[in-house]
Amino acid sequence: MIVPERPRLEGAQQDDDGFASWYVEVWPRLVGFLLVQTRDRQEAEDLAAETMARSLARWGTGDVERPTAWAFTVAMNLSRRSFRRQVRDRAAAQRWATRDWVAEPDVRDPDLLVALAGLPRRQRLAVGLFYLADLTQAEVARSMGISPGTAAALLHQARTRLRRQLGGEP
Amino acid sequence: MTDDLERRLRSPWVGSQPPPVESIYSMAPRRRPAHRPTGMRIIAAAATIALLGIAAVVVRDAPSEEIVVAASPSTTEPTRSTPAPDVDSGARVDIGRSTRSEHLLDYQVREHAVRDEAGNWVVFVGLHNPTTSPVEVMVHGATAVLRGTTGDCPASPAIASDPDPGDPTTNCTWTSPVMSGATGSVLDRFITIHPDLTTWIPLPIRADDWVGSAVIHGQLLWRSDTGDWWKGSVIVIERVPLPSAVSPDRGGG
Repeated sequence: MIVPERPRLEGAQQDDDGFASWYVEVWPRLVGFLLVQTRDRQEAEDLAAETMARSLARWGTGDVERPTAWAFTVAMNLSRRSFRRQVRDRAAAQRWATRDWVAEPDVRDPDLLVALAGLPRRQRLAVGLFYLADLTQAEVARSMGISPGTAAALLHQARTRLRRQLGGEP
Repeated sequence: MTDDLERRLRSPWVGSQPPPVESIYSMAPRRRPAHRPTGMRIIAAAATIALLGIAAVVVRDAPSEEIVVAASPSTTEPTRSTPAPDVDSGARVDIGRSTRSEHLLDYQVREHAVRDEAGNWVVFVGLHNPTTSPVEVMVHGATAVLRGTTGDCPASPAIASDPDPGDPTTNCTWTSPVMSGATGSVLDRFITIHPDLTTWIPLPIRADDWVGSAVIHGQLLWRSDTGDWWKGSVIVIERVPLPSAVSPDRGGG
């Protein structure tokens, strides 16, 4: 028999290095970003936790200059895999046709999220990286593996589409 | 409108409260030291790992040089073991840092163990990878605490307690390393568990003359393709008979 056991928490070092405060600050933005990518709250939080765990592994090693940007790039890559999985998942496909996934009390702007989720995938990613991760257009381009011009075009198209869709909003 | 859209886009889209940061620490891979060589990383890990893994082996009389433990069939046979009937399908072990299925391996212990050339008992632990991707695992930092029920306590500098060292019927406890390297085992280095295959990992226990029971400390580690590694599960092997034919006459303090 194998008894699963989690690694011990090394409490004394928990926020010596600022990870915990960074984690609290970035978490909601990361979940929002992933929620729009996946339209699945549980999946979004799982992927956010996975992203945070990977960030913790790199924290303080000097490998990562801008942890927030790095974390969002990791989250983007994780969400791509999740998207491929969801494409094969009928239940997930049905969720895409509803607004259930924004029916959580902490979703502050459900109309915005629905509009964002309706964007083409690359526009969704670009908007999330630009506005939530606070990347520059050049950094968005680098993260997505596209040219800066393409990143600028994706952001412009996304904003145009969102304005059109949300135009009637107060 | 542009300002309003920009404002809405820049504010957090949800107000989700994060789970306690402890949950992230508990699932995070071990931090990778910035420029520490691999050997140093393993040594640093061992100190922590030594606190975790625990496996129990109950040693008792048996008619042959075989250790009997819960077992199930394999697809990859250990080289020196005796074929055994199915006894137990084994448990699924979480070797990863989350409950995601891709981090799970099926675990089993071979019913029969064997002696190696040095006279050590070798228990085989089988790990089956049910996923579609190879994973690398290590059994690390394993030690065995043997508890005597008959015979004498072995002469060993690792004796932990022996209330009456000269008494051949007394109970005594001592610690033996579950050895690595020298006996050709794959302990303390990563091995690849290929998809849909079972790989058998030998655990050589220095319990040559000993009759009694033991507790083994060990830990599974898991490594991803990025080189990060995580602490996994603890192994517990519950019953292993040792032969009575081998006289426990090396002990006595």
